Amino acid sequence: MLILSPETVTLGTITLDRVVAFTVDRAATVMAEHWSDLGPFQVYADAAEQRVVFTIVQELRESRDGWIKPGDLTSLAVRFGPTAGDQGRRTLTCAAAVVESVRHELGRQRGGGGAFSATAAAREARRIIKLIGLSSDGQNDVFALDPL
Amino acid sequence: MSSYKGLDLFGSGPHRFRLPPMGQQVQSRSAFGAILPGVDSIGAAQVVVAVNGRLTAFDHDQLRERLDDLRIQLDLWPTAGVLVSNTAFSWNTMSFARFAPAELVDRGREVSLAYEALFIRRL
Repeated sequence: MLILSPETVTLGTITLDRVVAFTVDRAATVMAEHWSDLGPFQVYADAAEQRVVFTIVQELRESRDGWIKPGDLTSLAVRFGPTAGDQGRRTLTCAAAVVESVRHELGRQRGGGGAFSATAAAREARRIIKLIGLSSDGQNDVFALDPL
Repeated sequence: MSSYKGLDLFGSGPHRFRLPPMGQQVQSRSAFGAILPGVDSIGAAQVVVAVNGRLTAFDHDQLRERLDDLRIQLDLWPTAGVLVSNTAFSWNTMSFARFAPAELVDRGREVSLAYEALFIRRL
């Protein structure tokens, strides 16, 4: 799931500004797989254990404190919609997510010969926050999507 | 379809048969506690057929039912029967000796449990 330019992204009580992208990635961490005696092709597969990872990409234009760190447990809420109007707007909520990583990327200046400078780096700086979604009981999905 | 005593015990999920070794069961020669050169046969190799697979079910209750069916056959260990593989290999006078489940019940699209089942010809 990919959400470009969500309206708001809130971690706990803090609303993040300038979030340019929010993604939800699902992957099996354990696959149950089997083959048969009858031929070479796989006959069974099931995702026995899964992980849901949220990624927040935030543009930074000034220095920021590292207020969030790996291992922090927080709630997550994302409001988004296909247009600026009310129609089709939805909210994604996750009651419990654990921060996996907080990384920063500094890009090169676009145009002008590609020289790397403090000014250009600031203009291209991004903070990428990855969180692992937790289910309340293992059976319910880790997040809910609801219309606003 | 595989069967044991005409029953489909493992058909809920995928399973494969490991064929038994053939030939003699041998042991080193020894005398008065010392190992001597060579080996002696102590009879035909024991016929042990292993079934490796996965029981699948809609929910935990159905999985428990499948395990109960297996437990009934394990309790009937003294009564041997015919074991037939997916590819129509068959072994007569086999006893259902052991069912070893994996450590964890998996809960993905369905409830499932990997296992190894052992059938042994007692005589």
